[in-house]
This record gives sequence, C-alpha cells and structure tokens, in this order.
Amino acid sequence: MKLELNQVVKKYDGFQLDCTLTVEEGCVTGLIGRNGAGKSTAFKAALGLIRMNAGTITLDGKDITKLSPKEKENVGVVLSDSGFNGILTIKDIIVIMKNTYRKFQKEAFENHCKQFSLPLNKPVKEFSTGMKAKLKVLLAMSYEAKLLILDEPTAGLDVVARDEILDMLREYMENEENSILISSHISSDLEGLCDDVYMIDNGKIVLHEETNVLLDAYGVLKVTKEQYEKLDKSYIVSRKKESYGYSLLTSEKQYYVENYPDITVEKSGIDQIITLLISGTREGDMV
Amino acid sequence: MKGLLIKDLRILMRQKNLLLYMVICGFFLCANGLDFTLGFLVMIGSMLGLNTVAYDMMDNGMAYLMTLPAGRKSYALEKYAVVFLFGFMTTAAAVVLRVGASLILRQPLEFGVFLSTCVGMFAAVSLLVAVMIPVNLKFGPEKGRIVLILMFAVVAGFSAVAAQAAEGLETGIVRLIEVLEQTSAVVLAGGGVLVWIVLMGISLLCTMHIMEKKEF
Repeated sequence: MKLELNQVVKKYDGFQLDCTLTVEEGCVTGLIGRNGAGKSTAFKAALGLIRMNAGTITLDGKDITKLSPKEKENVGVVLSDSGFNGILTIKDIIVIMKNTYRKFQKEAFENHCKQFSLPLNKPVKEFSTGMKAKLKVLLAMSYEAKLLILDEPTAGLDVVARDEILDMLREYMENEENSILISSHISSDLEGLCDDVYMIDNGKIVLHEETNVLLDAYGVLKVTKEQYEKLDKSYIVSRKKESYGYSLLTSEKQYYVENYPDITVEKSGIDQIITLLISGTREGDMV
Repeated sequence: MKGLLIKDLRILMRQKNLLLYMVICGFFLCANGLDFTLGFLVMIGSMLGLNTVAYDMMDNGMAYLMTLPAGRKSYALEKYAVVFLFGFMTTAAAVVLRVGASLILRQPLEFGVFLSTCVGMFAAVSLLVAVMIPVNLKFGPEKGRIVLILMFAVVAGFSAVAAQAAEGLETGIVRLIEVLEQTSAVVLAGGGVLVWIVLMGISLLCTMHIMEKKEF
C-alpha cells in the first residue's frame, strides 16, 4: 500500500507541522528526528487522529478520512504512548481482536506470544516496558495488514528482543505489497531496515534520502578553518563549528576523498547526520 | 463495534469482585425489603457502563482505539449500547435477586411496585447517562464530573426560579395533572418512551458530533 502525506499542515500554539512524505508500496520508510520534532504529530495525522489545517493524506489514492472499516483493517498500528487498557490480559485482547479484524491470525499470534514469553493470563499493566512494546508490535502484525505505521516500536526493548522484532518486520516485508512507516530513536534499527529515511526537525522535513545513499555517499569532513576556506562547498549539506574548525556533512563523501587527500573524511551514521543537520548550519543558510 | 463491545464486557469482567459485592449487597437489601435501594443497583450497573469511557481514556488509550476499524460514530453508538446493556443486565439481576429473596425468605412481594421502581430508576439513570456520555467524552471523566455538578447547580437554580414563577400558575398545573390522570396508562407509557427516544437521539447526535471533532 502507498501512503502519501501531501503538504500536511497542523498548527498548534508554538508549533507547526508542515510535512510532505511518501511511503511507497513494498518499502520501509523511516521518520527520524529528535523529541518534539513532529514525528508523533505526523503519525497521528497519517492515522486520522488529528484534523489537519491543510493538505491531504491518501492511502492508495483514497483520502484516509474516508476509509471504510474494511479498508482500515489494512493498517497495523503501534503508538508509542497508547494501546489497550492495561487491565486486560492477552487472552482478553485475543477475543477482542478476533471480533474486530476478520483476518486475525489467532494461532500465529499466540505462538509469537509464547516465543516472546508473553503471559496470556497476566494483566498487561503488569508487563515490563519491553513486554508491552513486543505485544504492540505483535498485535499490529497479527491481522495481515498491508501497511504498518509504527511509532517508536522498539522503544524499551533489549537488544535481543529488538533484533527479533526487526527480523519479524523484515519477514513481513517479504510480501512485496506490504509497506512500513516507522520512527525510532535507535538509528541502527533504521539503518538496517529502512529503504529511505525522512528527517524531521521543528515540524519540517529537512532531509529525504535513500538509506544506502545516506550510509554510502554521506560522510563527515573534519577541517580546520584554513582548509574550510579553500574547500569546494558544492556538496556540503551542513556545517557545525568545532574547537579545531568545522565538522561538515557532505552528500558526496567520495568527491572529497579523491580531491582533498589531506582532509579527514569519516563515514557517517544516521546519528551523526541528525546531529549535524539539526545543530549545524544547513546548506541554504551558510555564508 | 462488536470488538469494542467485547472489550467493554471484558473490562467489566475484570471487575468481578465489584460485581460480587453488588450481588451480595443486593441480596441483603432484598432481605430487608428495600426495593428502592435495590433499584439503586440498576443505577450502579449503568454507571459501570459509563465508567468504560474512563477506562478507554486511561493512559491515552483512546488514540489507539480510534485506529481500530470501528470508526468514531460506531464508538459513540457502542457507548450507549454498553451503558444500556449493563443497565438491563443489572435490572434483570435485581429482579432475580428480589424474586429469589422473597421465595427463600418467604417474604411478600409486590412485584408491580418493585418492577416499576426498577423501570423508573432505569429511566432516570438513562437520562443522567444521556448527559454524562457526551460530557465525559468532551471534557474527560475528571473535568466531566465538575461540568456535571455545575450543570446540576444551574438546573437546580433554574428550577427554584421556575417554581417561584409558577406559583401563579397553580390552576394550570392542577389541570395538567387532572388531564394526565385521565389519560390511559398505555398512552402515558407510549408518550414516555417517545420522549425517552427523542432525548436519547439528541444525546447520541451530540456524542457523535463530539467524537467527529475530537483529536487524539
């Protein structure tokens, strides 16, 4: 399924979301940004939980506010701060899901719960943070949804459980019709999973790039002031002042490796890219 | 909507201790012949249904519920269904308890009086619920209680003023009572049901409108 947020605007006091984003069919799209950047607002808009001031959101070309219950069954959801009431047990939730989603896979869901050691008879409120996170993801994947919208699905999980969940998401993506929109604070999750990544800051999308391009072509140059003056800045995306001079984010790491052999060029991870894009001066603003 | 209804029933079942206390208290109230107090159980049943709104709102749970394939209008409708379902269930339980107590303890039972007490209580409670569902969904359970108290204060104040103003209209009121006394019970009951349906319909429309506009 293809999800499109087209020039979506949502205004709050002191904050405005202004977002255009596409999740292509068969792709995993990541949304990254620091706390309060607008990720959850964008997710809520995509799910029709808030009313927009402008823009359109479509799922396979259909306005999300006009989706029928049957069409809504194609969307699996994890919200970081919301779920079924904790007084309920997994056994209760299974009955609810069976009567809510026509394609709910009871046996597969129960097997996954056993695999992740989730007790069926214990109230969810007594679960650890990690157990709650696992349950949310398992629920979203339990009824053959074609699009998963996952807001911080791996938050609170230990490394092993995180890998297990990510493996499940990869398995889910083996069906080429499926798509995922995911946000996470853990950049390694996104690096290993996403086909493309949107970076959001202060409500605006500041970068959209394919993940392999981000990881292969982007890099960080560490230069002195003198080196900076002589540098060709055509491929510099962002600049941050440092004690030794500048850290520069480039979208063409190889160009600088070949043409400036005396400059230190480091491979950049998503964390570094976020840091440099957000706390540095961006290309358009540089003098 | 079926899924939402089952969710609320499951939440109710998780409060089985409370239900058990209600049954025990109900039995002892029956034993003492306190029919009116037993009718109070009907109110508690409806309130338990209404309380599911608070359970839904707990820990921001509404946001997730709104992503289920039920829709906002279905959610509103389901809340009325669950409140009345719980109300009917407790009414039925109250009847069973009263009849059971009268048989076991060999007490005389004026069934008609008892049943009309339960129906009257149910009608009164449903009107209260008709106000509380939209108020709770609009303001949340905590603020909702404050809004409700304020509303009762306004209604009480208005009633006091209206009562003073109506002193000169005593003849009219007496005449109205006379007319009502002459009207057949069937017509009165039918009229009552009609008024009840209209009020519930207005309440439901208000709730649907609130849900459509609400953000999560």
